[in-house]
Amino acid sequence: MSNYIISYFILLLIVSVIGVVRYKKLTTPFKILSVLIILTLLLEITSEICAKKYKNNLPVSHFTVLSEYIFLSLTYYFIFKNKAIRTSIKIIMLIFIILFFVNAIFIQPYHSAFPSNMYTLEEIIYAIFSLMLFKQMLLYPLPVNIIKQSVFWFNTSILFYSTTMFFNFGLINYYIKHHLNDQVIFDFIAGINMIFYLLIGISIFIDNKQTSTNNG
Amino acid sequence: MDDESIRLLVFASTAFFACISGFIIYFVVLYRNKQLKNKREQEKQQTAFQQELLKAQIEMQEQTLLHVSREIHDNITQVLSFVKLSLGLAGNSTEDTKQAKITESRELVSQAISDLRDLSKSLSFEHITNFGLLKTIEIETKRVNKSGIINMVLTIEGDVYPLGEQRELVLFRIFQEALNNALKHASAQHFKIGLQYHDEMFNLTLEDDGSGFSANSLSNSNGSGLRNMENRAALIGAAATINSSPGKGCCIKVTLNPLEQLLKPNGYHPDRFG
Repeated sequence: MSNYIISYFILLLIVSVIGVVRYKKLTTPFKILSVLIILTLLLEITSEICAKKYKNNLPVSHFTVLSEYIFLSLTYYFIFKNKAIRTSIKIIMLIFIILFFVNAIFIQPYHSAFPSNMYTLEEIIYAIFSLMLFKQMLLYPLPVNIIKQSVFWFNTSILFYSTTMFFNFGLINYYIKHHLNDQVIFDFIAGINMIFYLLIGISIFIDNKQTSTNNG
Repeated sequence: MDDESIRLLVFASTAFFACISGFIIYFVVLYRNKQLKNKREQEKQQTAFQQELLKAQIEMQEQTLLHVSREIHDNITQVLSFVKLSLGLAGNSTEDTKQAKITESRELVSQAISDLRDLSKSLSFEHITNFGLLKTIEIETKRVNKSGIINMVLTIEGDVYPLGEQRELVLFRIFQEALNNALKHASAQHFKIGLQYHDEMFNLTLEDDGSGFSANSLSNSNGSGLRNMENRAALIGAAATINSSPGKGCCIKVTLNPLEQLLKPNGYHPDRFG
């Protein structure tokens, strides 16, 4: 196991422990987020085992993309209070699930292809949700320091992660086209993953049902 | 790993992170500015609210003092003068007449004491704090009915709950203003007060059978008192509707959601985030 994998698992474990310990104090969206982190940890472990034992972890990747999308959408659903946005999230979720099955069965089979289509779509949706949330936050600011707002950290992590993934897709294409060593990109993605979960960890760590002005 | 790959990655990622960080910093600055702007607006609205509340309190005191002075002049002074006269005449009367006059004077003095007690109760607006809106309106209804100037009927629906001191103060001021209008301008004979306490809705209905007025009069200077009612109702998050037409009396209805924030600008927007 590489150093990255070990540190990645340790980070996920720390964030999961924070989520479990603080679970009762968390608001609904951050409770969902905590469950997602625990699920991510379990899926990553399963993925490693499958890769080692069966030399194929693609079905796990397919399941990961679906579960990640559902949980993150639900997190956004409970953060947003605007009824129109909430309805849109529900509709988009339904469309995504249908597209996921179509993709996993016909386009990128779950046992033989990586679900890059769904990942791309997922990142686009996250980036839109994140920008929408930033807009709503600006429209209705709270008299609380933004650094102490869990929603700010969560949304920053999502914007950072989703846009970086696009950036990475672009870089990979460029590297492949120009026959450059693309291992550096994968190391870079690993670093981004660590930053993403670190930011998520901060948001779970500072979120508090009693002091939070978020009515989620 | 070749140098070119790393150089390209470092350059591209630096540019990318600079953009993302720039966006986040810009957002934080914008958010902070918006927070400051909102805070200033809130303070401004708070000040306006406090001023309006103070104005309402002063008006209530003025109204009360006016009523007290009228009551002392027209009622208590008259009763005590009569007692003085009666006791002065008793000196030359027979023993039986003397006794009768003393008894009559004692009764009159008791009545004057009772009237003075009633007056002392209505001397301060603080009795809203002590008794609440309903009890204060009940006391006022009893007092006005006793005077015989107008016939007031009070009806209550639902389980009574407190609405908050400031809200009750403003509502009582609206009631006083409506009563004053009914007596002074409308020459009404009857005045109905309805208090409806529902779970998510409170209604105060004030109805008189006076001369009424046309909708146009709300826009001229005579309608400033009525406009005041609407403005004050808005201050406590309530809505006041005034219906009247010439010869058909006037009906004022104040509707309030008791669960809403007392001061809207202080409350958070339903689409807020934390």
